[in-house]
Amino acid sequence: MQKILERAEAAGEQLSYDAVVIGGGIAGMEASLSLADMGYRVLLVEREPTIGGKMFLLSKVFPTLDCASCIATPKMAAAARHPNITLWTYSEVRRVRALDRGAFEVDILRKPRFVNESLCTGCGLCEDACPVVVPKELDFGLRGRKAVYIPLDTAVPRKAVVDIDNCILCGQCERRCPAGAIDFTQKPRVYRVRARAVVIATGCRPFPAELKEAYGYGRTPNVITALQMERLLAPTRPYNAVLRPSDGREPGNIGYVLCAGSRDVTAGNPRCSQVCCMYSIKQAQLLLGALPLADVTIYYMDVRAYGKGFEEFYQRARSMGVKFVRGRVARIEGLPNGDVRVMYEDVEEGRLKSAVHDLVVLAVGLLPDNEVLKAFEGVTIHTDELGFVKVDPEDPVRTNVEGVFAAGCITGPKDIPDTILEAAAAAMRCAAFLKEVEARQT
Amino acid sequence: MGEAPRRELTSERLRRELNFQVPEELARRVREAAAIRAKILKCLEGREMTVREIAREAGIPESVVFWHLMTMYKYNLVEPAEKTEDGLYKYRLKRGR
Ligand SMILES: Cc1cc2nc3c(=O)[nH]c(=O)nc-3n(C[C@H](O)[C@H](O)[C@H](O)COP(=O)(O)OP(=O)(O)OC[C@H]3O[C@@H](n4cnc5c(N)ncnc54)[C@H](O)[C@@H]3O)c2cc1C
Ligand code: SF4
Ligand code: SF4
Repeated sequence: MQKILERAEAAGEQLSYDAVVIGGGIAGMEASLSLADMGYRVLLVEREPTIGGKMFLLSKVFPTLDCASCIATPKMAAAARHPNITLWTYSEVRRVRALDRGAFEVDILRKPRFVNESLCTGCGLCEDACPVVVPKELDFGLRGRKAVYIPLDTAVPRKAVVDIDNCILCGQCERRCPAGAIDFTQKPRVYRVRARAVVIATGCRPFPAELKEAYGYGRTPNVITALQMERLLAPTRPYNAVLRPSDGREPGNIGYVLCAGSRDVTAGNPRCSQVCCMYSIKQAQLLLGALPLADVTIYYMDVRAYGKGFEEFYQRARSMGVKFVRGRVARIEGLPNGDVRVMYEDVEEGRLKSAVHDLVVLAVGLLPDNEVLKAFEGVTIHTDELGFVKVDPEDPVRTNVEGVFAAGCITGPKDIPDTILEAAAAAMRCAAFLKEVEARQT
Repeated sequence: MGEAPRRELTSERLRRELNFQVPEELARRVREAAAIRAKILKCLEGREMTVREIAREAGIPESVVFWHLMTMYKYNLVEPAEKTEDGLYKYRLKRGR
C-alpha cells in the first residue's frame, strides 16, 4: 500500500458540509441520520470498506435477543441512501484543523478500492477467481478471504475491494469480472473538506487478548474471543455450525472467562467494560439453543446486570442451566487433544481448582479506537487515562473543543441502546450549535 | 485487416508502472495455501471425510485443514454432509460445482 499511497493526488474540488461524522458504526450512522433528517448535509467517513461497526458483526442483542443484522442493516442502507448524507467508506481522516468558530478544514484520504463502485454488482465472481487467501478480518481470522473480496454479504456498500497489500496483480479478477468493474488505474485521492462541526464516533476496539499471556490466546486454538463467538453464532457465520477451530468438532462443554482484560490493573485496564457480562450471558443462551446438549460455565467476579431487563435475562440463563462459578481465572492452557484447562480460584470455596473445556471464550474488554484524535491540529481533544474522549459530565456529548461532539463507545464502553441515545443527543447538540453559528453569521 | 491489438489489462498496467515483483514471502504463502487446498480437494474426490480423516491422509495439521475447508465452504467448493457421533462433520465436494 505504501507504494500506492505515494501515488496519492489532491482532489481539485472544494467540498463543504454542515458536519463531518467520523466512524460509521451504529453511533455514527444514528448521528448522521438524525442530522440529515433535520436537513443538515453530512459527510459520513468510515475507515473500513463497509459501514456497520461492531453491531453488524453480532449475532443477536441482549436482552431482547433481536437479530443484530435485522436492526443494523436497514440503518446501514438508510445512511447510504439518505439524500443529505454523503458516505465515504475506505477513507481516512488525515487532518482536522479548527479555522474559526464553526469552521473546520478536514483532509480525507479516499483509498482506492480498485473496483469501480458504480459498475460493481457484488456478484462475487472476482473472489472465486482470485488465487490469494488471507485471514478474514471481519471473522477475526476464523477463516480466509480472497485478496479481492466483498466484506460480508450484508456489507454496505456491497461492493468488492482489492486488498492491494496481498494482491499479486495476476489479473484473474479483472478477466473474470463480467461488469468490467476491476480498475487498477484508481489512485488514492486526498480531499480538503470544509465543515461547520465534527462528530467523533470511532467506537471501540477489543482488548488485544494476546496481551493477557496467562490466558493462552493466539497459542491455544480453542481459546477464542467473544467477538469470534459472535461470528460463530451470527447468520453470516464463517462455519457451517458452531465448531471449534482446532479440529472442527462441535464443542460440548464451553467455558467463559469474564473480565478478560477489564478490571485488571496488570492488563493496563482497570475499568469495567460494561457489556461483557451481558454479552456472555447472551451468548451462553444462544449456545444452548444451537447446541442443546452443551454445558456452559461462566467464570465471573460479579455479574453486573444493571440495565432494564438485565437481571431477568441473567436469571433466565441460570434457569436454562448455564453454570456460574465465582472465581478469578489464573491460567488457561491447551491440552494435546485440543481441549483447554482452566485454572481458577473458587472464591466461594476459597481454593484453587481446575476444569477442562472443549472451547474457552474470553470476554474481552473494550478499549477506545482513538487514532483519529492524532489528526486534530492546533487543538487537542481531551481524553481520560485510558484514551476515551472526555466529555462534559453535564453535557455528555460535548468535547472540550467547541463544535466537536462525540458519541458511542469512543466516550466509554456502552451497549447499543445507550450508544443510540448518545448519538441522537450528539446530533441534537450539533444541530443547536449549527443554528447558533448560522444566527451569528446572519 | 489485421487483428486489433489486445487492450492492456489495468492490472498489467499497474504491474508495469510499479515495476512490480511479487514479494517472496507472499509468493511462498500463495503456493503453500494452493498446495494445501489441492490436497484437501483431492482427498474429497468421490467421498465424504471428517477434518481428522483428511488431516491424517494429507499429512496436514487438523487446524490447518479446518481453516482451509471453511474457506472453501464459503467459496462454495465444499459442503457439509452428515455429522458423526463424536461431533465431527463429514465434508464433501459441493454438488454441481
Ligand atoms: C463481543 C461483543 C458483543 C456485544 N453484544 C452486544 C449486545 O448484545 N447488545 C448491545 O447492546 N451491545 C453489545 N455490544 C456492544 C456494541 O457492540 C457497542 O455498543 C456498539 O458497537 C458501539 O457502537 P459505536 O458506533 O460506538 O462503535 P463501533 O461499533 O466500534 O463503530 C465504530 C466505527 O468507527 C470506525 N472507525 C474507527 N476509527 C475510524 C477512523 N479513524 N476513521 C473512520 N472510521 C473509523 C470503525 O471502523 C467502526 O466502523 C457488544 C460488544 C462486543 C465486543
Ligand atoms: S468486481 Fe466484478 S466480479 Fe467482483 S463483485 Fe464486482 S461485478 Fe462481480
Ligand atoms: S489481481 Fe489481485 S485481487 Fe485480482 S485475482 Fe489477482 S491477486 Fe486477486
